[in-house]
Amino acid sequence: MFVRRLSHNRMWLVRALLFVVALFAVPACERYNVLVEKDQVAAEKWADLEAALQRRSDLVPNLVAVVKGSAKHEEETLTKVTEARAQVAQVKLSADDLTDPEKVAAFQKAQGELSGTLSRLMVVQEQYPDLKANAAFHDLQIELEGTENRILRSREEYNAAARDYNTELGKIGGQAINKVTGKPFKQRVYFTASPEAQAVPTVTF
Amino acid sequence: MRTAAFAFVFVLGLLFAPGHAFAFAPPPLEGHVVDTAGKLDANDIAYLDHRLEEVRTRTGYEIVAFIPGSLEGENIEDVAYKTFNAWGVGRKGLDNGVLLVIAPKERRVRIETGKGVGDKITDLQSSDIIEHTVSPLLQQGRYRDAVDQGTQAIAADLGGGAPANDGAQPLPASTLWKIGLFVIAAILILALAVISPTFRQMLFFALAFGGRSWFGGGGRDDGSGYRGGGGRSGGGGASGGF
Repeated sequence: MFVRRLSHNRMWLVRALLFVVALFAVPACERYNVLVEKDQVAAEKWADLEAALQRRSDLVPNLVAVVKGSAKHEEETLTKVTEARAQVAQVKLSADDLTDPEKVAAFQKAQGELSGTLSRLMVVQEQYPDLKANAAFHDLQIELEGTENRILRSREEYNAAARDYNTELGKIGGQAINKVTGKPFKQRVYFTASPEAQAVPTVTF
Repeated sequence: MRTAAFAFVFVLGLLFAPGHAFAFAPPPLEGHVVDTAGKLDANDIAYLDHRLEEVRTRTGYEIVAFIPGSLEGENIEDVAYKTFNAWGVGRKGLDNGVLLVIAPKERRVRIETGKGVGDKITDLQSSDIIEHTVSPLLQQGRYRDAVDQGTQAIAADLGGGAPANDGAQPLPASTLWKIGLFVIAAILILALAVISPTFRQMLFFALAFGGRSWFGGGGRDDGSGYRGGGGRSGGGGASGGF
């Protein structure tokens, strides 16, 4: 009789403990899920941005080929564009690198360099009436404009998603979950426009 | 002196504040054509709205034309992108919308394409439509023709595509709720009218004298009633001047 009562009490205790654990575990799991979700959204936005950057990179050889035909005195500018593109091809970012400020900075620098040389090339073309009248160049120019606009929007969207995720991770709840689960989450680094890309290119003749 | 310095800093702060005080804000979306510049009259808008509604039901693609009175100092790319996403042109998930923006004051045109139509209407095609169809008409001040022929050219480039509705469009959940509530209310009223003579009398007077405001008030709908579908743009499209 006594033994039975004790075990009954224990059962009750175990149930109460389970209840308390569940009380904490359920919101914790939810928070973990939110973090995973927001991380995935940011990853998706990054993929969009990468696709737009790749598209720009793919346009460069055609652009260089067309400009070469009409603008004979722009060897230097063209060389710089080609070099910048080669540099961009070398600096690759894997998905894990997006939490590494140094790697992102290097990637950004390479992309910024390409932006800078391309906008310089687009200013230079004003000097060549043949080039401006060239239908292939006209098309490439429109494609480049469209791609640059896509890059801008994808960058904005990626940064917004990264901010959303970072905020969630920075909250007390997010920090606690991150610690308990062995820190699988890291703050994402924002992809900002390089100062060079924002400055209006200056051309001296 | 100090006050002046403070005032100066304050003004500077206003000028460079993030999200400028005089930033562009999209007007509400009412139908397929929104004109805050007053370049189209009511007939034009009704006609164009009808044409674009026809495109939407036939092909599923959602095309909207917007003539803003002013870009509020922003460039047309930003205005088009903001407006497109604020309105949600195109169906959610498909992102099959296209927005034509004509800024008469700034003399700029842009075609902003949804994320889902980038392969149907490339930036080059958009640019082509602006250069060869829209801009020449705008130079002659023919806004209605510019919108009409521009949007029809967009529709032609988009092609047939998928039909808007696979058979009947399912009613949104909120509408179902409303119908359910209405049915319950009607049954209640009927039951009460059967049971209570006093209620019957009250109902009679209410219908005879107040009926107009009950039954005539809601749902006066001019035009297509198009309100956007939740589509998004990724910055595709092309811009031009006129």
